[in-house]
Amino acid sequence: MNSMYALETKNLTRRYGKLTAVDNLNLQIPAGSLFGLIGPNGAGKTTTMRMLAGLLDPSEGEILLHGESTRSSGSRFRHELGYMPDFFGVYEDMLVWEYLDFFARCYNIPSAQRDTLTSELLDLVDLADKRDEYVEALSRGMRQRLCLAHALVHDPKVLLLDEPASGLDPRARVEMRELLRELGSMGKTVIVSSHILAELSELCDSVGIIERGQLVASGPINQITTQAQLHGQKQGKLLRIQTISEISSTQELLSQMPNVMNAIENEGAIEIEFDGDAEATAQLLAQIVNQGILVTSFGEVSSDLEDIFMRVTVGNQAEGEL
Amino acid sequence: MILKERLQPNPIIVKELRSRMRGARAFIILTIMLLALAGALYGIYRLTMLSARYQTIPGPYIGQSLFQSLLMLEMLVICMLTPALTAGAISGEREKLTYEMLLTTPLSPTRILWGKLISALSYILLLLVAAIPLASIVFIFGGVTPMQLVRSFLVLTVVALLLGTVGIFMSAWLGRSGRATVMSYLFVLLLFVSPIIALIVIGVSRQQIPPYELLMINPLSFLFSATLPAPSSSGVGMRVFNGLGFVIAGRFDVMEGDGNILRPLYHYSLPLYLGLTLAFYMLAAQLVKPTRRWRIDLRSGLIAFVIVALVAGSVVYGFYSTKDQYGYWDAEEERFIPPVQPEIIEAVDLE
Repeated sequence: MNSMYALETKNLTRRYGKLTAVDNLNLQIPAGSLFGLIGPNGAGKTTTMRMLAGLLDPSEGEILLHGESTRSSGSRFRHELGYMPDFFGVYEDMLVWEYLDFFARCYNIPSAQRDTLTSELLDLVDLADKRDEYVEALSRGMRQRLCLAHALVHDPKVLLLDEPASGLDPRARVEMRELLRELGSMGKTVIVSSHILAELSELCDSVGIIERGQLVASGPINQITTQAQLHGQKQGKLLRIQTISEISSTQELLSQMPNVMNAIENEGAIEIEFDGDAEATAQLLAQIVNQGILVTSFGEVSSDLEDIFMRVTVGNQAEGEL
Repeated sequence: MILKERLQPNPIIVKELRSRMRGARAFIILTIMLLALAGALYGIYRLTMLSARYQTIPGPYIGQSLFQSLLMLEMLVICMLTPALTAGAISGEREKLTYEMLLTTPLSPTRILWGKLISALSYILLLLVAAIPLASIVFIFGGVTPMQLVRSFLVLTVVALLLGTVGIFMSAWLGRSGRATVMSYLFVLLLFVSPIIALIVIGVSRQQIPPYELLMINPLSFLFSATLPAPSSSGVGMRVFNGLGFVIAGRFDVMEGDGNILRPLYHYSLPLYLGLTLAFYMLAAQLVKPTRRWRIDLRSGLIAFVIVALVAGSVVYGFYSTKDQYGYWDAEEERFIPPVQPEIIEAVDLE
């Protein structure tokens, strides 16, 4: 049986004693997509990833890999999955090429292919010049890339990356992002978990937001955005207006305009929550210009993932506490 | 295809050997051990020659005592090194956070276990093999047969196998290298000390010579019972060990000299050690699994059953087929130590 989903979970549940870490999770991850699993610390991301990787038995529910249950397929699914744990270790007394060679051996890759494979992977993760160095000597970012390379030795169709960017400096983070994009363009299904949201919003084409073991929202990013806006308490959109006129008077003026819910000063600009369609927005601009305010920029602040995330999770917490 | 996969060397062995044998460390350890063995052997040789000043010691006796001392030292090396090499095998991977990465590969937990065991034991074997030339010096003096050399080597290997398996079992069970190391050394200590304590307790509480079979647990008894020379008709053992070797080997019969040859201890020790190895191996094989630890599938259950049945069967057969060769110590009567009667010494007038 073949399914359009690379990975699917059905009522996936994991309990640790009384604590339910993952609660009836239903994920559907289309083949070839870059899927982001987002949630605050302790939401159940890692538990989910570990179950997907076959390291943890679900208490209930099942995981389908290309439509086939991983429970019944024995160890075959291991050949199609690459997994990079959030806290990973490296064998420090090994050379970089030996490290990859070791994992290639674990996947029964014939010796004739291992050499070229190792070189190719080191090229891919940009570690070719470190080939003969000890793993010990690598920086954290390099180790992370090496670990990613290890998850690729058997050319898996699905990649599970648990917090691949954690602990990396901004530059290494950008490099990691580029690398993941490249993998996506190679047609692999990549599942990334993270709590660094800005990353995922640029990288992923669809996301699932997980909170207290439950999937709060899931789908393509643009769809999530609308969903979250409906879900959140805030209505309307955020407009950011920059002027060279005096800010306080402008702010006062703006707050009296129709459809403006509130106006606050933020980093030398005024941000207003505006409840109106495109025409109303244009009218608002025309009105303030007519009032003699010198506008240098006027635009909608697209509510990014972080914003959505905050709304969704804060909302839930509030409900939970009530 | 599957056969081809099987024929590839175990990745764990390749990895472990690569990192263990790299650089000077492994060879320095080997050199130090050989130097220490040679030095100790030389000391024992000088000691034997010293006592030769006061009595005639035939060459074979010197050879035998050198041989036994060397074996004892090698046994101590094994008992000290094997837990250190294996107690971190699984827990070390867990602590280094590499274990999960291994488990997500198709490499089966059993192969991980084997790889760890074999790579640790191969290092021990290397030490043993390297010491063989040293052992061959005893042939200058005579008194040791090549068969004894082979047998001693096998006994050392069997002991290393058990201790290695126990180390890995502790490592898989306790999950922390520190704890696993302590527990493995405790196990070694228990092997050495528990039979002796049992002998003392039974001997004192029952006022009997305790059953010598208890000593089969002790690795040194195992070793000596398999490698001591056959007692000569006069019942004379070795000069340096002065009969102590025979006591350790559980050869009380030699001391009694009643011509009733008991079944050598190693007949008991060998099945005991192999059985324990098998048991600890099977437990460890369950413990290294990431999920569904105690669910045993039909195939591996069947294989385990066949192996256990084979081992048990051959032990029973071995004992049955040789039962006429050995006498039994009739327990109650002969082992009874008569209570000491207080003697009343009459005063003797010295004058």
